[in-house]
Amino acid sequence: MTFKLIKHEFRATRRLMLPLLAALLATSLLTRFSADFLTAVGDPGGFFVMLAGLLSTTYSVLAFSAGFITAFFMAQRFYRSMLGDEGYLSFTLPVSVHQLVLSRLLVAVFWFALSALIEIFAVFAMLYEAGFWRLLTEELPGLVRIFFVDFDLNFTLYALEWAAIAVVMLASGVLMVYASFATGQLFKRNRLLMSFLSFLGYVLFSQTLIVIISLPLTSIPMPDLDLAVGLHVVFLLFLLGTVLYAAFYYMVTVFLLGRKLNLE
Amino acid sequence: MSVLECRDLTKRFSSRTALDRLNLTLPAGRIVGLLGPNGSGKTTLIKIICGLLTADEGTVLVDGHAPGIEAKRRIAYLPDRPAMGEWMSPADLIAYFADFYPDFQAETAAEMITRLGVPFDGPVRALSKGNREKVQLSLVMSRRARLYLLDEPIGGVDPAARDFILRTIISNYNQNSTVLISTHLIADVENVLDDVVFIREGQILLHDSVDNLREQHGKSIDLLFREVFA
Repeated sequence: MTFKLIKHEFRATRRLMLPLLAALLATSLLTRFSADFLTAVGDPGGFFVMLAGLLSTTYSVLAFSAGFITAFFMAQRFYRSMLGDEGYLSFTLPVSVHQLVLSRLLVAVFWFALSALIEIFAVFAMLYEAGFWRLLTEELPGLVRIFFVDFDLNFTLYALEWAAIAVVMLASGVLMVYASFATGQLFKRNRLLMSFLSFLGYVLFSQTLIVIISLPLTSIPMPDLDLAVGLHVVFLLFLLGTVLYAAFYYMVTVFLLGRKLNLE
Repeated sequence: MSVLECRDLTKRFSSRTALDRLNLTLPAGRIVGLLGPNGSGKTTLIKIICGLLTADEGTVLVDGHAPGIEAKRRIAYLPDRPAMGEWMSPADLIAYFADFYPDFQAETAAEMITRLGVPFDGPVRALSKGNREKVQLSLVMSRRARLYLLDEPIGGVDPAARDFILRTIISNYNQNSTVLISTHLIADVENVLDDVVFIREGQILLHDSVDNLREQHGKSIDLLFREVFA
C-alpha cells in the first residue's frame, strides 16, 4: 500500500513540480544561449536585447524562488491532503498513519532533492565558459583526489556520509513542518495560524535542545584520533543526531494524526 | 455478529458534549436512517466510526474491529463534502479507489457515472457541486463494503438525481451489509429505510423499525420526526 500511496502522491505533485523545474531548466539554458548570441552578434537590435533581458529576469526569479515554491507547495499539499477536505479520503483509506506520512515525506524529499540538483545545474549552465567543463570534469576531480589522497581519506565514504546527512536534514525539516500542522489541527479555530505558531515553537525548542546538548560537549577533551577517523566520527555523530531529530518530529506527527486526529 | 457496535461513546468539543454515552448496535442487512436536528451529533458519530475523530470515552466496533485498518477496509464512507482531489478526473478517482479497495468494482462505478451524465475525463474542479456529489456517491456505492456510512448523500442534488441515488443505494447494498444514512431530508429517504435512529444532544432517543413506528404512531416518519423535534 505504501508504494500505491507514493504513486498517487507523485501524480498529485508532479503536475506543479514538473512544469516548475522544466521552466527553470529551460530559462537557464535559453538565458545562457541568448547571452552567447548577444556576445557573438554584437548589436542584434532592440527586440533580441529585450527578449534576452526578459529571459534573464524570468530565470533569476525562478532560480531565486524555486526552493520557496517547492517548500510552499509541499506544505500546502500535506495540509490539503491530510487536514483539508481531501483528508476525509486519505484517512479513510485502509492504510496506517505511518504509511500516509511516510509516502508524503518520501515524495517531498524527492522533489526537494531534484529541485536542488536542477538549481545546481542551472547555476553551472549560467557560469559556463570555454574550458569550464574541462575544469569541472578533469581538473577539479584531480584536486579533490589529491586532497583526499594526501590526507588518506576515503572519498566515496565521505560522499555517502554527506549525502545521507543532506537527505536526513531535508527530511527533518519537512517533518518539523508536518509536526506543526499536526499540532495546529488540535485547535478548533485558526488552525493555520496555530500551525505557524507551533512551527515557531518547534524551532525554538530545537535550538534550545541543540544548545543544551552542545554546551557540555565543548568541555569534553578531544580524543587523540587521526584526521580520517576523527572526521568519520564527527559526521556519524552528526548523522545520528539528525536522525534522532527527524525521528522525534516523525513520532510527534504520527502520534497526533493517529491518536488525536480532529477533522472536525 | 452485529456490523456496528457503539458502547458508551462520548465526545466533547471544548465545553460542548457532542456525544453523551451513546449506545448503538446495527445488525446486517438493514438500511438505517440516522435522523436528528443540526448539532445533534450525527456527523460526529459517523466521523468517530470511520476514524476521522477519536472518541474521548467508549468503544466502537465495526464487524468486530476497533477503528483502524481492518475497520476501514469494511467501511465505505461518503462525507458531507467533496473530499476528492480537485485536480483528479472521475477516471483518475476510479483508478485510485481500485488501487486501495479490493472490494471496489470499477466497471460499476464507471457505468453509474456515465448514466448520471457526468463528464468522465475532465477534472473534478470543473464539475458542479451536484455532479461532484454524484461522482463521490458512485465511487462509494461501487464498493462491496460491510458498512456504508452516508453523511447527507442527497443534500446537494436535484430531485431527479435524488431518486437515482436512492435507487442506487437500495440496489447496490446486499444482505450482508448495513447502510447508515444521515440526512435532514426525511420525506425523501423514508421509503428506502428499514430502521430509524433519532438522535438528540448526542444521545439515542429512539431506535426502531420504520414499520413498527408507523404502526405504533399512525403517521409517517417525517411527521413523527417533526413532532419529536418540534
